[in-house]
Amino acid sequence: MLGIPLKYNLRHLVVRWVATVMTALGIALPTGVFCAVLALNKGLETALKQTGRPDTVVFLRKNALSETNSSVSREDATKIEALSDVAREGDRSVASREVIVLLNLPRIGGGGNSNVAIRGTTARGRALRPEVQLVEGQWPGDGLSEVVVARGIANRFENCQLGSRLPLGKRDWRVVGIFDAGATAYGSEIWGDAETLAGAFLRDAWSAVWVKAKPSEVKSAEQWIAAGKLKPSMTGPDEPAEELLQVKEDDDMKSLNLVEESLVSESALELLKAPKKITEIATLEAMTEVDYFRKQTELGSPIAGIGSFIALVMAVGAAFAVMNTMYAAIASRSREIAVLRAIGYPRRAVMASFLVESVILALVGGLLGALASLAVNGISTGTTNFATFSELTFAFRVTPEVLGKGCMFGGFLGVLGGLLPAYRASRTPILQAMRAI
Amino acid sequence: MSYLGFVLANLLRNRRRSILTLLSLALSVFLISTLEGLLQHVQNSPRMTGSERRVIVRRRTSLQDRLPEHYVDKVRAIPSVEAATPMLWFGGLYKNTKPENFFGQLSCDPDLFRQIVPEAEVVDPKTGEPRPELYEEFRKDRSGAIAARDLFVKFGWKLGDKITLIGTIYPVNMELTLRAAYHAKQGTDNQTLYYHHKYIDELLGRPGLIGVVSARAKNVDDIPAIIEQVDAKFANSEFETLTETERAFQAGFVQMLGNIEFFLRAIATAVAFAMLMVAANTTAMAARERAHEIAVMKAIGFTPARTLALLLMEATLLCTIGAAVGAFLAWATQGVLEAASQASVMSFFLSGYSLAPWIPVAGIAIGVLVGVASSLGPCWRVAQLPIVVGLRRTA
Repeated sequence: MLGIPLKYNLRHLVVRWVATVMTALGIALPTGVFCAVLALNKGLETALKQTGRPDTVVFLRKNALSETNSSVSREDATKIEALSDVAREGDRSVASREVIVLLNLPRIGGGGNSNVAIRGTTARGRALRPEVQLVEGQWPGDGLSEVVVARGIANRFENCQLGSRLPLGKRDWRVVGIFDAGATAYGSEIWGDAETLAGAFLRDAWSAVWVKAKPSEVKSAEQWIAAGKLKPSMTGPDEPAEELLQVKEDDDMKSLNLVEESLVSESALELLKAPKKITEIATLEAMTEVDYFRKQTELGSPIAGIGSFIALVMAVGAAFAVMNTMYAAIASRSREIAVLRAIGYPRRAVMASFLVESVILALVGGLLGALASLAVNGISTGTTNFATFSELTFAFRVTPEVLGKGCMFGGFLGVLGGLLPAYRASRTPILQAMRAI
Repeated sequence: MSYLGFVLANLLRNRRRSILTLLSLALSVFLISTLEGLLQHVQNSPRMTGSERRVIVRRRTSLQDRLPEHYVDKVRAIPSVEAATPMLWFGGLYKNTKPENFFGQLSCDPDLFRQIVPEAEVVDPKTGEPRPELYEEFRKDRSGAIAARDLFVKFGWKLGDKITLIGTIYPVNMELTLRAAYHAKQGTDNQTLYYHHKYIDELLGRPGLIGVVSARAKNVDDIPAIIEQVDAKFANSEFETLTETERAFQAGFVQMLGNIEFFLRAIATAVAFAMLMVAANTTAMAARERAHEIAVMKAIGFTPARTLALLLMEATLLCTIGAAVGAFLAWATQGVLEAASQASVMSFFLSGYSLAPWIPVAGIAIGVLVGVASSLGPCWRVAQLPIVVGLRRTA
């Protein structure tokens, strides 16, 4: 049995164009908001999930969760650098002792202040992160009160432009360069020389030590488990408090803080188990760079939470609007429906036809909304990453995936709003409807 | 027949449409009111009784950096300051790293805490009845804690329970005994646990460092002078300070979220537009279907103006009811929203969320205005339709 031709629905949508446009716009708006929220999440995720390599490992104080809170003594830092799984260049370890300080800076054009992370790093630290590229000026000189600023921060915070002076720890630091860090989390930082910054802020310990693991095979944590190199109990990010509290005798069973699907190299895996080699009671914790940033997404952005809630409420309202339009469409076409039924189309076909009409209507709206959301694509803004308590710059990213999801969201509203009216249409009593004028 | 009866009968003729439109409008007004409520709440959070007399002194560089303990005494020595306490943010983990288990953990001077935060009433965690004598239990026990009653309820705590907070900022874990609960109707948040500053100082090996100084002025009018005096006192010292009112201090956290005001207002505008579409569409449908009978009405003597007025009355009535339902919804869900936010970082921002009375009223006004404005066009068109054309139209 053939269905009712699609042309029938399309022509009706055109004839009743006022209702079509109104309803489509009513769907476009929630879809637009939905896409913008997705684009915001995508932007935040990209900044945190695309940062890091599977063979770069960071050593932090146990339970510190972020570099901001962490401290690693100079003595421990030396022991970390001496670990046999750390890559060497000549006779030097590929390691960087770094310090993070936060500075409360005013945003350009009002909008209050926010904390920006300042990383004291080294030439090796820069080599560990090849995505960080100098675009203007020069790198800070050793021992000089100079900093380089990420472009996203330079554009959005005062005193951060090339040549400005940044008041930091009792002196002014000259901004001597601007760097670009792609879409990574480093693009929200200011970089200076580690020893100089540590001195200016009276820090006698480092915040973290970053090392590169010896070249070795890279697999996901899951694959390492399959290969028998890792026990399942050694993964898993959500340790209960009891485990966080006590240092177990069987340290191999302790969680390594690995996200199962993320990649890690074999020698990095060894480094993750290394903290217990450094101090008798494990006071340090190691994470791969990938997992370190990925875990910060868990705290989530409060803004994204509000956005999803809004899109949901708007969606329900829009579904009601679709219902209204479809009920009206059906009421004004009851004779036609009766005729369709009389000439042999089964109820099923009538129902399908109206459902399709509703979905087409909604898809038009969805597409409009999704396209409208392109307006926010690439807009760069920032929010506080509560894991590090500092600014995270990100750009709204309306990817094809976001557009696709937006259209699906619109289509789903069409189904939601069209189902009941379509069912009603399929139940139209033939004789009565034909007699009615 | 009274005109109101006529309008009502028309609304009830297509009940399903009226209800769907009403619900759609209600959701829009609910959203607009709630968004504005959220914005007002996060921007002016603890603004009422109590907090306006407090200032917070912090390190000028950033909140992450500590101040020396003796700064408390120096602030206290300012004549217009009534009392001052050190505070240190512990930021420990409770149970695990899940965000829903996050709450504020601040140290205080137990001898002065009540004087500085008088709006925090000491209550029984079970019943919520005032029990000021519990405070003494907290004051006497160096490892004791006083926590918001909301936290007692959320985690199922009882007085005398021991809890462990795992240090993330500091390399120590804190074992605390819950000795008392507090509840503040306004002025301060209900998401924090306070412990003795001496206890954390001992645990850390007496570094003599504090996070901030919270000071209460004898008089609100002294606040600007106090801010000036404190910052001048420590200018050019090793640890320069930034002093601000507690309200400004709290607002700083909201600013850190980014341009939330623009974000929320943009969405509220989008919602208002969606509402415009829905209302316009419904009125257009209703008016179009009735072209025939409107022509009849005009034929028997109704003027176009009166016809227009009747159609507009219908649209206005529907929008008003819808907007009122939405405003009621926004008012009724305040508690639900606050509870739902508990599982995220938002709990800290939404603690004590309540809608100012003017917001639902403004929501209704917006709903009615938008509804009527959107109906004007369609109603006008039908009311102006020549009788002969209208009569020829069939439903």
